[in-house]
Amino acid sequence: MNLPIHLLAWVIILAFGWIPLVPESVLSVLTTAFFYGSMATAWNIHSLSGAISLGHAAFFGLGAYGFAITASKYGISSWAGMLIGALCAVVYALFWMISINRLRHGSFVLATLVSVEIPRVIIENLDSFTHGSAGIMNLRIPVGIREWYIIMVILAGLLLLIHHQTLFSRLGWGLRAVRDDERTAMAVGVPVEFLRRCTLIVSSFFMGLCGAFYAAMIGFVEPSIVFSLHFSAMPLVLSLFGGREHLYGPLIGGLILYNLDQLLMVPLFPEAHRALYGIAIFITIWFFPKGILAWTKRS
Amino acid sequence: MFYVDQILVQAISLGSLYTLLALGFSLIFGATRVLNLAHGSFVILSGYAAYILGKHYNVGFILGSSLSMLIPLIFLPIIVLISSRSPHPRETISLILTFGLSLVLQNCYMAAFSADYRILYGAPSLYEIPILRVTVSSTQLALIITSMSAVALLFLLFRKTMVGKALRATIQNNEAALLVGIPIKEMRILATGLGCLSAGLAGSLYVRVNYIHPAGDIEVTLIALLITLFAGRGRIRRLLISAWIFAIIETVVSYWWGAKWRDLLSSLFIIAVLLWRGEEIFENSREK
Repeated sequence: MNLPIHLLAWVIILAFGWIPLVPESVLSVLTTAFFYGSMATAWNIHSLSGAISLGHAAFFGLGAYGFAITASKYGISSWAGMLIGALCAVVYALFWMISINRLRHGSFVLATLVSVEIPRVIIENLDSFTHGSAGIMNLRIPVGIREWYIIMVILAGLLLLIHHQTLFSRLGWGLRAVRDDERTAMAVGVPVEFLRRCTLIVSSFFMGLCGAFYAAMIGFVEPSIVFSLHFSAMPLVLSLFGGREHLYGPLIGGLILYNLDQLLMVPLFPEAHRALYGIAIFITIWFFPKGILAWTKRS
Repeated sequence: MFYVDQILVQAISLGSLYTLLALGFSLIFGATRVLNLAHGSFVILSGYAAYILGKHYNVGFILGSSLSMLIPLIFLPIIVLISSRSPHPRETISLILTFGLSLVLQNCYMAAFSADYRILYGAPSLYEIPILRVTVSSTQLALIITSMSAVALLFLLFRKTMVGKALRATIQNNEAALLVGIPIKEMRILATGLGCLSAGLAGSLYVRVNYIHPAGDIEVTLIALLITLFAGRGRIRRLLISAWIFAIIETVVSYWWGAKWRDLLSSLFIIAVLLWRGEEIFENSREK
């Protein structure tokens, strides 16, 4: 990894947000692309242990609700509320650990998919505490689009650092062993359960943080929105498309697919534009299963 | 006592529909080893077809159901393609692919039918069964008779015909079926076609008792998944019993605590079944 070049690239990306000539609409699309890229990177940290999750919307939704409830009901500062939101997601990850984390392959995928329903139904039905399906309004915090852009770029950078560790450090090699053959990894002394738990906690924390950021950006939360399949599907699609085993894979997936969605699909098919992400799954798995970054020389 | 009778009638009619929902899912899973997460989308599409035929063209129940049950057959090639062209690890990849298919379909339905909730509700006639002293609505009767007839037909096909026996052999053990000369590719296509037809018939009935909307597929898939996991693949009698048990539990829970807790109940059940026998189910499905 050529560190100075990477750092320079990130400084340029950060500085882009301060250029006054860049229109806010462009920054808004880029901010969301970085947001989805961060989500995908957070998801991939866990998936590198070989566990494919279709249930990260649970962490996302809990992060959003943790922030919404603490900020609107208890008057805690918004930034602390976001942290609490992320911790709520970690608490749910602990539930995963004691219940479904022992499952493998298809069983695990199914269990994660249905585990989104548990917090959603509970939040939907606790009307007095969560306002039920009506959701919670007025959550927008006084931060402009340029600041959000900077926040998202920093979040993406931070997640890339962690992603780098899960790919290339000693821990990363352990994860590779777990992913390829769990029994052999265990036999040679790789702490399989410890690694799976670590990645789950880190992944859920950042997914929850993304949920809290989302609530603060759009200004409201509703169970049907923040626990929707969309937030389980996006990280999976973007990571697969970009390349799950490449440092920049999930982020590049987010930057390409989200922009393609906004610039091409939304004008052409305003109602069905998100079908792109489903189609991307098919194209990726059948034609380039290692992701588009597998085409680059270094990967 | 009155309420217990009524709850049972409701549970039996709902359980019959759930059997049909799960039967399609189970047939596809059994023959192709694909756990089809887009199953709910198939059901919803046929529900939309039945709704349009009934609401806008005043087509009757029998003709409407017969026509709309054919609609999910358009997905037959894609399920066959997913089952034959999924790279390793097949079970996870096929789950991801069918998840992708459900995303595509959900968005297409949104564009085609909007996000409105729809139900094909006709004022039902009420009948009182003299000895049992329970009231049954015409909708409940239609649900029970149609579902049970379809299940009985499939049961007879499986038990009494050579094709049915070949299908059962394919579902139970692909390799052994191939060894005794059963054309398993054709059997897979046939089972998937029958699964699509079951989903289609279930959809045309589902829209008469439940609201359908583009994102409503997940709850249907969850019900089919739960019953199939509980019963095992391709076992019609166990499916029927599991569906009725689940329908009774669901009706009782809905009666006491309200229908809004249903999805929580099914999710907890699925997690419990996966923890209990998930590996066993997938272990069997890993055969080629």
